[in-house]
Amino acid sequence: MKSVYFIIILLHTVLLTAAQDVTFEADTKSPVREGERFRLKFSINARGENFTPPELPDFRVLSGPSRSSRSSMQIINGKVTRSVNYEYYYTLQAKEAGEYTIQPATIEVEGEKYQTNSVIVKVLKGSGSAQASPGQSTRSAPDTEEESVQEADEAFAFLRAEADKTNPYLGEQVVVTYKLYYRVNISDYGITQSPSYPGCWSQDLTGDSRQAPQYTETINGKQYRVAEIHKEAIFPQRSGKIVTKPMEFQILARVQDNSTRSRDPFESFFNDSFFGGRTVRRNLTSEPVELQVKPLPQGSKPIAFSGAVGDFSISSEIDKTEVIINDAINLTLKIRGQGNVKLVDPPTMQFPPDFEVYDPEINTDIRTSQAGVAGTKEFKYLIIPRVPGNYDIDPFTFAYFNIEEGRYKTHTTPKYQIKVNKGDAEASEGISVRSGSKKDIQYLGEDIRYIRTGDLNLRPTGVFFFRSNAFYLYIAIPLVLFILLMIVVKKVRSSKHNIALQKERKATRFARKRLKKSRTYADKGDTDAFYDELSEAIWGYLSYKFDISLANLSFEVVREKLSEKHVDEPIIEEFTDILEACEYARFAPGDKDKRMQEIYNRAKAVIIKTEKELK
Amino acid sequence: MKYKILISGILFYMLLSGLSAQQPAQVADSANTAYKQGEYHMALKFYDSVYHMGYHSAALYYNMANSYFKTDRIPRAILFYERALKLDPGNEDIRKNLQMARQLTLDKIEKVPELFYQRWWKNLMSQASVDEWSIAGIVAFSLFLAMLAFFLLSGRIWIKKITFYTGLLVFVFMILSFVFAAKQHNNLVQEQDAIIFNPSVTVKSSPDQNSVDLFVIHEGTKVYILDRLGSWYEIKIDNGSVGWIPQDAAEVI
Repeated sequence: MKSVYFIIILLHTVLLTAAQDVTFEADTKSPVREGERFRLKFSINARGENFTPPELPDFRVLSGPSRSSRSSMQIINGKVTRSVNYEYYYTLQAKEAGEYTIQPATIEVEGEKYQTNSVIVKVLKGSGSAQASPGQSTRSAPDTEEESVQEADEAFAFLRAEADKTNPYLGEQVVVTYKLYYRVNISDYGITQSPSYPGCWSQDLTGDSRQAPQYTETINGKQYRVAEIHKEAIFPQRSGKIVTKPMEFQILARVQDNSTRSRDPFESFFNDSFFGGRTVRRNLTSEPVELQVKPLPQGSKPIAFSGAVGDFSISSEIDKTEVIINDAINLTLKIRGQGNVKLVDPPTMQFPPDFEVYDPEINTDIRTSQAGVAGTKEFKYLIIPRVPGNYDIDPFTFAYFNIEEGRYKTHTTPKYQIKVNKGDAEASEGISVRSGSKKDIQYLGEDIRYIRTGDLNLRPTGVFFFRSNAFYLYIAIPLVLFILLMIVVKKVRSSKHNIALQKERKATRFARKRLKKSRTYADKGDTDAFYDELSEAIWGYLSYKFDISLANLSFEVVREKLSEKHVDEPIIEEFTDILEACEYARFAPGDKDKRMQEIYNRAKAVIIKTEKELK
Repeated sequence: MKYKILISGILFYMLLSGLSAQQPAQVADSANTAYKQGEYHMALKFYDSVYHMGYHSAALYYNMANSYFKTDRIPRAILFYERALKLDPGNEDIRKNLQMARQLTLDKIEKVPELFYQRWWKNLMSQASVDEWSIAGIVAFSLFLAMLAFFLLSGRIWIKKITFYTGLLVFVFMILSFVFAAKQHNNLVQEQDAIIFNPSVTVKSSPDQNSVDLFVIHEGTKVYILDRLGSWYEIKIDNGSVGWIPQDAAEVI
């Protein structure tokens, strides 16, 4: 069993080695100068898979990895030998002087892993003339003395990016031209990677025409044809340093390459001048363009400025200035000029609040030319007045930065006066928006309320009416008045009371006197006199007691007065009884003495009772 | 008799205040003119001199606050709106502007909700100023005495009944008026609120620079002074948090 395996493995390796002796090599130029472009090549004579390139942190990779393949077939003595050659290559640029090791690359060929040798690249201090540093837009042609094979490859065609200015203002137009320099016939070309401009707004100026302007230029004694293959206007949107991403370009060139010409008659046949030489595919990369963007001057910046830089003019148009309500008005605002027209913001027009304003219709007409971007931006406003009256549309001010003069300029549109008439009743009825319906108040802004004008009611600080002397005085005044009033009223009342008291006293005195008198009459047996005196005593008593004038005395009045004073009903009855008895006793039969005695006692008792009751 | 005293008293007061207030009033007038023309800094200078002459009023504080607002000094504006509000708690203009100024401050403090009767009480109290409440109290007192006199002297039952109940009502109103007046007076004299003036203040747990940082408040925030110790205030903010701040970080209203 073991031997079988062994044989299989042996066979396998023999077969492989017989087929191909795989070599995988790295090759590059050394020494190179700082900033010089050179080629790093990995070549293998077999078809490989999973090519893993080494890390190249010390160099700037301008292009790659790109692959080219070559295959040849040899027939020697009827024996066919097929040879293939694959190349992976990079175009590198040396960054800084020093010695660098490029680590090996790996590849798999039919499952086997192969590794290249590591190569050492020596980078010498640059002479400056050899290769321009990447920041510069113009690059001197390669020094002929330094020109190596690889550079010769490059030198038959290279790409340059040129900016018309490197120190623009923020928002200023910079035209970047990509020029292809070549000395060979180019059969085809194409942009593999468009340039990009971080922090910029760009506009392609190349247009549709593939007809690039061409001319010849001589660099270091070599004549090149130059094609302006791409042109772009860029507008920096931030200040500071801006580095653009380079453009990558691929060409198919026909070159006469003697050094690699094989002796194979077939190949030499195909490579001969009839076919214009060998066709080579080349990746070209432009250098990045570096711009130092100046900020716009801050000091004199107008309020209306919104970022337009260039040279502009403004015009406005209105189709009618006298309308009936709900009739539309068109207001057109045109901003025309050179520069970043596309970036001009819609103007902030101040329309009267009673106008219904729709968002403007914006038409941008940009014309690009080789010189840059120019164009017109048009804002069409549709305004519908909803309330009749006279209105002003305030002028619109457009400010921009003029680069040639290096200062801000403002243009102002005219002010429009619009007269809105009341429409016909029917006409306004047809439109449903406003027919007597109430509208909410529109709040247009917010501000603090205005100061208090006029008298500010200034008073000395820290002085209050509360708990001041005046305060206590004003409390004391009503109190004193109240007390005075009470005293006066009491006095008046008490004196009145005295009079009443005296009268009352008089009443009892009177009653006593009269009763005494009547007693003497009774003792004498003078009946008439007794009854007269007795009724006199009671009437008099009632008159004094209850303050009734004698003229008004009657049973009814007495009854009323007594009940008013809350005298009990039996007492009132008694009084009337006695008085009645006095009237009729004289004529009544019976014992006169006894009767007199009885009435006398009753009268006395009722008076005493009354006195008691009214106490 | 009563009216004579009253009128002569008022006349005397007017004469006194009129003579001495003539100059400040003129300065205040020129301040108002400056404000109208948008010269807020100038207006502030004039208002300030009136203030330093020892005069004040809600209107003066209000105008000063507006000038501070217009010159973008929001904490000062808030301070003077608060001062104006203390003198004239019911003024809607002051309230509105104070609210706008507060919107421009950094701190958003959730107010501890007050119970409905506390709110009513405060609302009622802020219907008038100290002096207005004092006058209301005096009027109520006079009315009460009148009612009492009628009650005591009238012999008729229905008059007694009416005067008893109205008298009671007037008496309650009088007590309220005097309580409100006293409370507001106390507020004005005691100076227990302050406005933060430093752009940012770290509130400490005790009156000591090395104590624990509790929270941070920013300029324009209103704080209530609970206690003073050395050069420190113990303060409370609207959400109920309590801490100590240096005295120079805030200005008392």
